[in-house]
Amino acid sequence: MIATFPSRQQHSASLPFLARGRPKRPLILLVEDDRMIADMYRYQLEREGYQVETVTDGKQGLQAIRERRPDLVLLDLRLPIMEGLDVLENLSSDPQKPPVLILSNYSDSHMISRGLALGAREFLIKSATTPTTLVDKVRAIVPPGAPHL
Amino acid sequence: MNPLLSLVQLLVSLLFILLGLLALRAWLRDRNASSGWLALAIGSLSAVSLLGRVQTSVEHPTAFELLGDLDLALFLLSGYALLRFRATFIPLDARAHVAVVALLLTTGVVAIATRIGAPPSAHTGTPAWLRQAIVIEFILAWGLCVLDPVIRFAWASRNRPAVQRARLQSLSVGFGLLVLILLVAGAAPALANNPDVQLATQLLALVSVPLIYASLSPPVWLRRTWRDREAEALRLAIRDLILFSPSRQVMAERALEWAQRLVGADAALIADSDGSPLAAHGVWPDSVKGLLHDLEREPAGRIVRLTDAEQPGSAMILPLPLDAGTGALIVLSGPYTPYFGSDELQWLGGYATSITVALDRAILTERIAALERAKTEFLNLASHELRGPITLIRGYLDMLASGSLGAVSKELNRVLPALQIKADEMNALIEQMIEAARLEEGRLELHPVETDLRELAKKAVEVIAPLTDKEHKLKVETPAQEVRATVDPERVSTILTNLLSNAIKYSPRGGEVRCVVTREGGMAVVEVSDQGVGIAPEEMDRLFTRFGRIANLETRHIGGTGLGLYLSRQLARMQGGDVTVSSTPGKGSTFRFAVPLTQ
Repeated sequence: MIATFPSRQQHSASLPFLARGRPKRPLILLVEDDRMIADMYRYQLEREGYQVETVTDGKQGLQAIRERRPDLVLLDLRLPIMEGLDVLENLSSDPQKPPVLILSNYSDSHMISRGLALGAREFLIKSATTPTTLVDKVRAIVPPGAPHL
Repeated sequence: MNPLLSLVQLLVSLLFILLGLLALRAWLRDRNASSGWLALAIGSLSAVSLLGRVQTSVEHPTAFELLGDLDLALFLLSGYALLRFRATFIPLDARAHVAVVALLLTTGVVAIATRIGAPPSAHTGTPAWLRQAIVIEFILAWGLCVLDPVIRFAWASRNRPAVQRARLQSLSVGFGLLVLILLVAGAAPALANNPDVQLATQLLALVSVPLIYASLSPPVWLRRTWRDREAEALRLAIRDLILFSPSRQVMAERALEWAQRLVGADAALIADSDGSPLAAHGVWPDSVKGLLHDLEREPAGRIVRLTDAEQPGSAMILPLPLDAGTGALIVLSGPYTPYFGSDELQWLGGYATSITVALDRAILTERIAALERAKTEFLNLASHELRGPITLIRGYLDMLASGSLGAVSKELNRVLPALQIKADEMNALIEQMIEAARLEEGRLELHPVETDLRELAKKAVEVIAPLTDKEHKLKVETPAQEVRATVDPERVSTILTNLLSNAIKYSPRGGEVRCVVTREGGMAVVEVSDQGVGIAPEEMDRLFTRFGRIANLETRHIGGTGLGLYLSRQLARMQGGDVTVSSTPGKGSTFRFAVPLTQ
């Protein structure tokens, strides 16, 4: 959530130290402007053993990817301030960029091909992706319990 | 003397005099430099002809000589006037002008001094060879003045509208003939004295008269004949104009070309009902703006002579009684324009009516196109916006069913499947809307792969099976061997599930729904038949149209977007196949999906 994000960011320097005693949960960044949809996916992902952070616009998304280094990004395309495809474009030169799954309700063939060309692993249509199917997709890339670096 | 020859000579003289009078009348009717110089050229030529006849009957030697001198002077004047006439269209270089005037003056003075117009007996002091040289120089000087316009007009007539071309060509040929006659007479006097040659030259002169007349002031019937040459092309152009103009702008542009072409105008303009120009061709003098007033008062249009403009001419103004107010069609004459008369005005009036109809029709076409676009845009937007809520509803229903949200009561567990089926149906409808919008906007891309249709049919039946109730028997029949077609499997699945769900929906009292896969000739065929309400023959046409749902007492309670069959057929056709139907009302329907087999 936006409100909680900056405070977590301040903690990030000491996070490996804090995380030492905890079970290591992979970090999923969910870039989604519809809060209700974000809450739904987040619930299921956390239930399945993932740590989830949510941001609601592309600019925050890009910043969080660079600073928090998540294990996987779930990226919506229609976003305020910066569109999802622009986030991908900004990341394209980053050698350490995390795997990205596009999760969008806009699925024109040119958007799909552009998204995949910019390095997204897969293009998921939200309305066809229930939280359960999403977890299956995420698990195939980042198994729960894999270390969060 | 040959009586036939003298008769023809007399006729030629009379016709030239008549031509002179007509030229004078044309100038009086429309007083501008162009018609003035032409009138002077033709008038002086006819005076030459007249004086020639008068001279032969004069016996006083001084009067005879004076008449001869005047004749020579008038003849040279006719050449000069014709050159000035051409200068009103194609500017004459100032130095060339001075040189020509000097040449003509010298030629005139020398010719008069040596009396070349007089019979040979009167020449005692000048040697015959010198006289001959002076005659040739005289004819060449005149010929220079006349040949220049003859060639330039012939040149200028190319690529012009038919009426302008015809006018310029008659002018060019008419004067060309005169030059030819004089060259023969001057350069080869021996030949010119041959009675047969004389008769031939007089006959040529006779031919030149109507040609010059036609160029000077073409009569209505002649202008009409010139126009008629393009009538067929115009008829087709008007048809295309009304039927196929994508917008008013384009329509107006095309309409102008023809208005201009048929009356030989140099500029044309269509003003909209608010006075703003919809389309304009050519150069417009400022004075034209003042013409756009009181249009309604003269429904048949009017002709205005523009005298104060840089290039004097005429304008025809036709009101266009458009739905939104009166617009106007204006054409402006140019130097080569034959004439704007009541016939042109009447003709243009008819054309203006076509333009009015076409312009108003174009508004409708534009509106319909905008409406279609808006419909597609709405479809696109609405469907994408609907994907959001359905994501949430289906997502949570799925989580409830899978137990992610904790234990679910027995009662909730009983209603969950119904909620899920309806949410899935809703999702399918949204997907149909998105697919239809894609299709309308030409954004639909197929991803064909070689597929066994038996598999797709079986899968579709599996998808549909949970939706059937006890009253329906769902059967699938497939042949033992593969039925391979190169298709987009997702799209074919959409078609088949659509046909199957229709079969179930439209057989509310149950019965058998059969899905049969076969090969027929070169086609892979899947037939879906039901024992439902059927379709009346008169409703068949609407069945495959966008939103073309058929609602009657028996079926109006059945939900749907009216997109399913439209999409199915379009998707099938995009893959080289089709979806067709046969039905008996009350007995059931059979929908047949066919695509080419992979060879």
